[in-house]
Amino acid sequence: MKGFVKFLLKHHFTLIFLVLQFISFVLIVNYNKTQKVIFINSSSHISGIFNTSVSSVSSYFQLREDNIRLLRENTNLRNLFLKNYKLRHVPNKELLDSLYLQNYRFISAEIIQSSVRKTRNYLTLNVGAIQGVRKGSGVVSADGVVGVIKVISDNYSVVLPIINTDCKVSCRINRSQYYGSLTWKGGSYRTAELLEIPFHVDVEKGDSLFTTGFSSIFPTGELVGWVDNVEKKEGENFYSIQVKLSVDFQSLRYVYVVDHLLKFEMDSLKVKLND
Amino acid sequence: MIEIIKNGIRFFVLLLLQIAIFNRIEISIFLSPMIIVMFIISLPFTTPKSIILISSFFLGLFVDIFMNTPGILSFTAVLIAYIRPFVLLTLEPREGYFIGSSPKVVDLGWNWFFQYSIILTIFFHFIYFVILGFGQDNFLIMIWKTIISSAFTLFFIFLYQLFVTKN
Repeated sequence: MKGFVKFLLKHHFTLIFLVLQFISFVLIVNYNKTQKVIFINSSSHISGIFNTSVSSVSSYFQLREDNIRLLRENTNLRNLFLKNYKLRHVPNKELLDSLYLQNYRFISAEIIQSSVRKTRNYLTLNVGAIQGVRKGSGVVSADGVVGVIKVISDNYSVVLPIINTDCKVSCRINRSQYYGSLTWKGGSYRTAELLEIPFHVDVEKGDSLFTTGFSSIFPTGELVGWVDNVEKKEGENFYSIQVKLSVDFQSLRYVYVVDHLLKFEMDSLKVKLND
Repeated sequence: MIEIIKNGIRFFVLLLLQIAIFNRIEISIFLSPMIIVMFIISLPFTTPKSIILISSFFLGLFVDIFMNTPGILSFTAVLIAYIRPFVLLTLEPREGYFIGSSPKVVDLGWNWFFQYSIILTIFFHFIYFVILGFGQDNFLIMIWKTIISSAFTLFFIFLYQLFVTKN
C-alpha cells in the first residue's frame, strides 16, 4: 500500500494528465457529433445570454449594411407578395375573394452565433419554440437559402446551414429545369457543389439555381446560388458543378424561419401512401 | 500570492478575449487563433505541475463550451500543459532558471522566448486542428491553418511581451 501511494505521488503529473486526457477524450467521442449537445451548448441559458449580449454590441457596427439589406428585402417582399400563398381551390371557377390560403409563414430572427470556417458549421438563432419555430423548418435570408432548423429550445434554435457537410438541399437549374442535390464539402464558405446533373443537360456558367420545394422545407423558387464552373470529368456520369452561393454567411445577420403551415398535411399524405 | 492573482486574472481575461473576440474572427477559414495558449505559456516556472494541467483543462473546457466542441480544446490544452515541462527542460539555459522568474522576455531574453512560445503555440494549433478535422480535413489545409493561426496568435503574444510586461 505504501509503495502504491509512493508510486502515485511520484507519477502524479502523468497520472493527472492521463485522467484529464481520458475525460477530454470521452467528451470528444460522446458529444461532438450529436446534435443534442450542440444544442445544449449553443442554445443553453448561460451561453445563450452571453452570445445575445455580445451580438447586441457587435450588431451596432453593421447597422448601415443591415438597413440597406432590409430595405432591399422589403422591396422584394412587396413585389412577391402572392408568391407565399397557395390557391385554396382549383381555379376552374374564378373566385374574387378568399382565394388564397396561407402556405408559408415567415418568422424573423437574428443570428446570435455562427461559424463559417469549420467543416460542420452551425448558426444559432434568437427564436425558438415559444416564437413558433418548429424543428425541420427552412431558414432563408434576403439573399437566398440559409439552412434547416436542426434543434430548438424554448427561446433559441440551431440551424444546420448549407455550408455544413451534413446538409443537402435539392435545387433546380432555372434554365434547363433539371434538378440535383447541393452539398458542401468544406473549404470556402462561398462555394458548394451541385451533384447528379447528367451530361446531356445544358449547363452554363451563370445559370441560377432555385429550390425545388420537394422536401416541403423551403418554398419553391428560393434562390440558392449561381453556377460558377462546370466540368466534365472522364469516367463519370455526372457533371462536377461548382456553385457560388448567393448567401454570404460571414456577413449574414438577419434571417427568416419558414414555417410551412401545410407541411403536416403534405407529410401525412406520404404516410398514407406507405400504409 | 501576487503571482496567483495575476495568473487568475490572466485566466479569465484570456477566456473572455477568446470567446468574445478571437472566436468571432472569421476573416478566413484558415484563421482560428487560440489566444488561450498564452495562459499555458505564461505560467511561472514554479507553478506545481498538477495545477498547470488542471487549470489548462478547465480553460480549454470553458472555451469548448462556447465553441460547441466539447473536449477538443481541453484535450489540446492538457496535452500542451503536459509537454511544457519537457520543452522547458530542453530549452533550459546553462545556468538554469532563476528562482522566481517567469517565462518572460524580460527574464530570459527574446531569443529564448521566441523558441519557447513558437514551439508551444504551433504545437497547440496543430493538435487542435488535427483533432478538430480528424479524417475530414485535407492534411495540407490543416498545415496552412496551423501556420496562419499560429502566426496570428504569436503576433499578439509578442505584442503583449513588448508593451505589457515590464521589468
